[in-house]
Amino acid sequence: MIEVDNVTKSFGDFVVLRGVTCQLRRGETMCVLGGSGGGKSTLLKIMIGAIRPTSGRVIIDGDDISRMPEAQLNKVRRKFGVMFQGGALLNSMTVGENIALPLHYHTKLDADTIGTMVKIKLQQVDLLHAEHRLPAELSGGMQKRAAVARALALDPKILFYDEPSAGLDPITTTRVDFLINKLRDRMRMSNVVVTHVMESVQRIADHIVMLDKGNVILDGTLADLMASEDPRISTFRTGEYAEGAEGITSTADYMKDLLM
Amino acid sequence: MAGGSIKSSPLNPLVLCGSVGRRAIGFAGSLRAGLEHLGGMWRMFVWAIYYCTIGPLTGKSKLRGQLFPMMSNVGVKSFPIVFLIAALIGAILVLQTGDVLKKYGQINEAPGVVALSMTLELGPLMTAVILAARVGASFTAVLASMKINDELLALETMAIHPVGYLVAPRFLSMVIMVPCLTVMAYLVGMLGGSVVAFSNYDIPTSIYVLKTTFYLEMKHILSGLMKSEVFGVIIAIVCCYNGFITTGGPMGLGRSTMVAVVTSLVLIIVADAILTAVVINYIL
Ligand SMILES: Nc1ncnc2c1ncn2[C@@H]1O[C@H](COP(=O)(O)OP(=O)(O)OP(=O)(O)O)[C@@H](O)[C@H]1O
Ligand SMILES: [Mg+2]
Repeated sequence: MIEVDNVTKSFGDFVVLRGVTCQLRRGETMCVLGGSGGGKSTLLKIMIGAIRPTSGRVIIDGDDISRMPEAQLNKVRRKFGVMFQGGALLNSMTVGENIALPLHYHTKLDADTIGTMVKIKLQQVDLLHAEHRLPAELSGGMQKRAAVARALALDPKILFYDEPSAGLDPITTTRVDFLINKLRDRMRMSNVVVTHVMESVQRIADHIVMLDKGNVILDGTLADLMASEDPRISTFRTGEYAEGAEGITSTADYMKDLLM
Repeated sequence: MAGGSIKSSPLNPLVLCGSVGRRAIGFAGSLRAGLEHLGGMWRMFVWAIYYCTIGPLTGKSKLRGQLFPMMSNVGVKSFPIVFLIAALIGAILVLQTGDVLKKYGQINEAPGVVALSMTLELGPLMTAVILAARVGASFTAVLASMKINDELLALETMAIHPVGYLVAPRFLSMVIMVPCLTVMAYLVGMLGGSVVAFSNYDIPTSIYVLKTTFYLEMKHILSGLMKSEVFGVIIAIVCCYNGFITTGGPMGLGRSTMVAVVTSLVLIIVADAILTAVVINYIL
């Protein structure tokens, strides 16, 4: 469904992705893991065509979107919905209007039908009561669920989530995870989820891609993640911070690191 | 240390070349950046025109819902301050020129001074300055906060062109409302002038109106409106563009707003000088 083929990305001299290759199959949830600043959001933005890779290809249903002209890309974009790291709801309009916006733009439905569809989408994320409130009046978790509802508006085949559970309490995190699973199982949607949270990964992941300093260090299932002996993976798994894990063991190393 | 101080002395020809060279490279870099921004603004201008004209016809953009609130924000809500400033400018013009005119027995020509300077210069210019500060700054701040918040990216991924959705209504309401406000400024300025002319120099309002119609011609009004239209386009594009290119969080928002207002004012004055030369040489 989506093939990321040897994608690199640098901002000026700063290399963020160094040859990332991975595949999303239909109807599965792929989790992208990695430390902060590891290039996860950048990879996601490349997969949705928001930024262009420095080299490599991104193929969605047979079309290479990395070199595609904007007009054609807009057609491909109809296939997916995106939930950004901060939600990115339009702050000037209510939650309901936010969800109605893509419907007004891309369908010929009349206002009544759109109103009903907005209610259905809000129902799916348990936010029916918040239809007429402004995003700024919602809590962080509600904003994220509203952003999911907007991403669902055009019945996409692929959903992208950038850290759906960052900053949420454990119970809301579980709710968001259930929502992701529900969409996969009932609507046969494929999901790409960027996350830090190990518990979420265990609940939702069919397929895990782990990035470290722009390289893929793991591409496999949850079992592979749990079994891996690689220290970069096992420390992430347990969340323990081992002194020396970054290769700094002595003052001399520290000085070398600083002066590099 | 001693050798170092001679080497790095500013009079050392090598060092001099080096610093001149560095300056030159730095200058070339900022020149290139400036040209890139001009190119970006030009592209935004072309897209804005497209989304104000062809876009709505082909159903690619929807202006209807947004245009009227925006026009009210740009135009109606700016009117009080335009009123205040234009009235005072008209009054000040009569006060400033009155004594000289009176000395030469020409006080009855004061309405002409107000009429011509309001229409040709001060009406368009003051309106533009007010709008750059009041409306332009808010354009930049709103769009910059949307940029920082990934809202622009979200629009793009919903296949909604951010220029069509956000810039086009702002651009169009500016283009529509600026001339309206400028005409108001003309009228209010002359009104302010007539009040002072009556109270300080005993010129009856009937004479004031008569003199104004004697001096004022359609070409003055139209040249002023042409200027104000250009200023409106400058404000809309410069301020929206600076919002769109904002990076770096709330600090970036503040910087963009400052840059947008200053750039608008500088470009307005430059455009004013050029247009004035054109108007004086070819139209009047
Ligand atoms: N537009 C940009 N210009 C320059 N550098 C950038 C840009 N976007 C991202 N980066 C850099 O790329 C690196 C990866 O950023 P990215 O946002 O992909 O990280 P991330 O893995 O999503 O981190 P987090 O988990 O904190 O969200 C960071 O070091 C960041 O500074
Ligand atoms: Mg991120």
